[in-house]
Amino acid sequence: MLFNSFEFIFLFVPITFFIYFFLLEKNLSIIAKSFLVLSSLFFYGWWNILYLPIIIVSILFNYIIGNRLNQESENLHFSRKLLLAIGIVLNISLLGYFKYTDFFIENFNLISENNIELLHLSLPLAISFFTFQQISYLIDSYRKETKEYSFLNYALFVTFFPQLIAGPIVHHKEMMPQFFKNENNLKNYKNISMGLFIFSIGLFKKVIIADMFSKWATQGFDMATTLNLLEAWVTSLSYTFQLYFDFSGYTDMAIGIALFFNIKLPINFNSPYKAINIQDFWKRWHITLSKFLKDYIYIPLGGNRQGSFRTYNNLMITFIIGGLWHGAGWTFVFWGFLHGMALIIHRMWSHLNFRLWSWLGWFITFNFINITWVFFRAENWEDATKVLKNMFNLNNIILPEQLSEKLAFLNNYNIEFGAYLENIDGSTKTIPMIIIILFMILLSKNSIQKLQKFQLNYRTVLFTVITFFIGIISLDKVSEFLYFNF
Amino acid sequence: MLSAKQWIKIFFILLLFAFSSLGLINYTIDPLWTFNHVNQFNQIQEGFNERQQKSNYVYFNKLNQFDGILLGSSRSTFINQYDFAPIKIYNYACNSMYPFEYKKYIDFAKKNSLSDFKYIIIGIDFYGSNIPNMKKIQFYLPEHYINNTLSFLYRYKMLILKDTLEKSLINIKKSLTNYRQHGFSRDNIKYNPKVSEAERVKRYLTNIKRHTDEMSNKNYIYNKNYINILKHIKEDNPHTKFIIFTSPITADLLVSIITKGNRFKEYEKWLKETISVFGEVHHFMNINIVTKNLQNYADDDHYYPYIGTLIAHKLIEKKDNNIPKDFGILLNKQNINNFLIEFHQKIKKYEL
Repeated sequence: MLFNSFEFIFLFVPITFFIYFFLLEKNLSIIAKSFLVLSSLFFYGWWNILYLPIIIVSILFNYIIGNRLNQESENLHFSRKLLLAIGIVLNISLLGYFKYTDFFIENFNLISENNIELLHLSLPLAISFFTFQQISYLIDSYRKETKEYSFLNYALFVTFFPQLIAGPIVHHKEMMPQFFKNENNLKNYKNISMGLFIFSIGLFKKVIIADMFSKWATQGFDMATTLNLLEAWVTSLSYTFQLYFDFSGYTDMAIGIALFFNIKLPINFNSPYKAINIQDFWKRWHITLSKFLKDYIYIPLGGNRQGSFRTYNNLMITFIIGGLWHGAGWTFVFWGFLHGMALIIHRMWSHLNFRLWSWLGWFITFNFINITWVFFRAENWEDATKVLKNMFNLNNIILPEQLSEKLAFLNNYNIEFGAYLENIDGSTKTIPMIIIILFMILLSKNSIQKLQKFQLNYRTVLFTVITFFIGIISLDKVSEFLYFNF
Repeated sequence: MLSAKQWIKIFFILLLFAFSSLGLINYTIDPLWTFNHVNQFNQIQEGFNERQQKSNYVYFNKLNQFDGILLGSSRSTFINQYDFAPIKIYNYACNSMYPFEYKKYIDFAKKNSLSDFKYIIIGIDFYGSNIPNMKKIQFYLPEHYINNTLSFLYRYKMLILKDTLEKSLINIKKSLTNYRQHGFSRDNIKYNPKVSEAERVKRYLTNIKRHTDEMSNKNYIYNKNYINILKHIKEDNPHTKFIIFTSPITADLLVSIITKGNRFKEYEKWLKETISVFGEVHHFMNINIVTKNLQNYADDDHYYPYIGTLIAHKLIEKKDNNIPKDFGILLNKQNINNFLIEFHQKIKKYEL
């Protein structure tokens, strides 16, 4: 069930909400929480019921290991370190089996000239999220930073449906206290209105803005065989905006739904495209993942405590793992490598006390992010190079026909006039939309800032109704699609 | 400043009002054919997604009172299903329908009928013998439309869509101003008003070149699976009478495809394979009075609905003095070779 679906918005959420609070009103808090866990598992199983046992076994396994890790060493048959290692290895093995097996087979075949058949396993939904979430729980249990949570609270922490599919990656320290709080067992109308407010913004971001850009990005990356310079830039920028509005919109919806249940999820995006350097970007983009990578990979590797060379090394390892976490492919690895490199260069630069003007820092950072997303999005190297090469191909420039008279002198420089966005199915509104959205991103407050300043007045209610209504009525299309590959 | 409860109340009241208004308009017009009411605002319906609309009609209104269905491409959509009276036929033909789609739509129609059909009428086209180029085809597989129709609360979800509203507004405009202009009636009759001569010539010249190209050189490969597709649907429906006919495109286009595209052998194979499965075929796609007269067409291959009436009458052997004598030959194993020899002669003499 997607957040942006009728079933979820009009049936699943209201039914779950009313039954949950009805049970709480009757002082049946354990049953209410159990109901919320079951509802979340139903939500998860809606996609593919076959994967339900995987998440259930994973929760049971990690809960047992976590509990054992909380015990003193003398009560255990083997060392806590070994137990932690077993826990982490099994979690990574599960993720590795489903996510990376084909990737390894492909590369093994390539190197050894073998022809082992790929398994074509379909990836259980959200496995990357719930695996990371539970690894952090195990490590913290080892560090004695977790209390002995009840199984019900632990299961709710992992499965709580608003964050289950695409994060934010929640930490037990943030979530567990909220599940214990008695005051959270009462309906909170302020939280509900705030939830509706941010959910509507998220829905609008996902359905209207992200989906608009996705059309041009998909055409440019997957369909077009060739691109002119403008098309290549529109393709990459469309994906840059699609990804942000899609992901942050989804997170906003998650934050909103969680608020209905009086749960505050952590911020995940803080205007990342306003970043003025790469370090700043990673403090603003997918914040909960960055925090996980920092706390559970970068710092355990030694962080910045063992000299510059080790710091750079640790940064690179962390970002390559981060790249692999996003997807099983060399393009993801390369994307992680580029970001690792950028962070190393930025660190060196800062150590030398060099400073850039903010606007120049922003310009370089934004373009770096935009260019590196090309590797993140492209299905293969050919698609990536197709887009990138043409972004800088000055011999393939086509401008709008309307400019042909005013800019006729450009003909001398091999610049043509005509159908300038034909290969990506663009229209006259494509470039203005990119410019408008870019300015909007740079000049306006983000949804979390808006939520922090939320007030109960007619303006916010009208704004929420309009964004929600437009989002809902645009959830589906009734016309036939063109050029659909089946 | 509002209280949180007031804020939520206002939110839901405004939302209810907005969704009710939208839903009411879309319900009244019903552009997706998930209901069956008729009024002055929805009497003309745009056929913007025929596969979806007709599948919706089949599922939500059922075909219990029908004796059979008609399948085929855009040409067959122009046949008035009531011209088959007293046989009750539902016209399930859709734009660019390919043979590989027949089975799924027949099965779906049967599931939504009380019993097996007495008749299945199929208007076949020569382009259907080509291997479909899936990358160029501009529609989904039948499962897509059928799954949509069957999806949870489909007819209600569609009522609150902006896209549906856009179609509703077009239908209102058509219904109030351009009665019987291009579009469908609520009882599934497709209109196709006469185009101006200038427009007809323009369409004719553009399309005849495109259609010939699509059947020429590398663009055409005879689909070896064509005969199996027909065999399967025949075997799946042992108690049903199949009435197969070829769509009459302009003689100009037919001759252009066969001579410029060099497709005589494939044309012969296509007819012979069809006959080998069904025993006979009502053949209209040849050189005859109707196909030679370009005024019967809105372009190079789409005849006007009055030609569809002649086809329907001919198929059910209904007396109709308007049917030219050479329009529609019943081909079978006995006469196919003679027909092809004559046809070959005619092509040689035909001036494009």
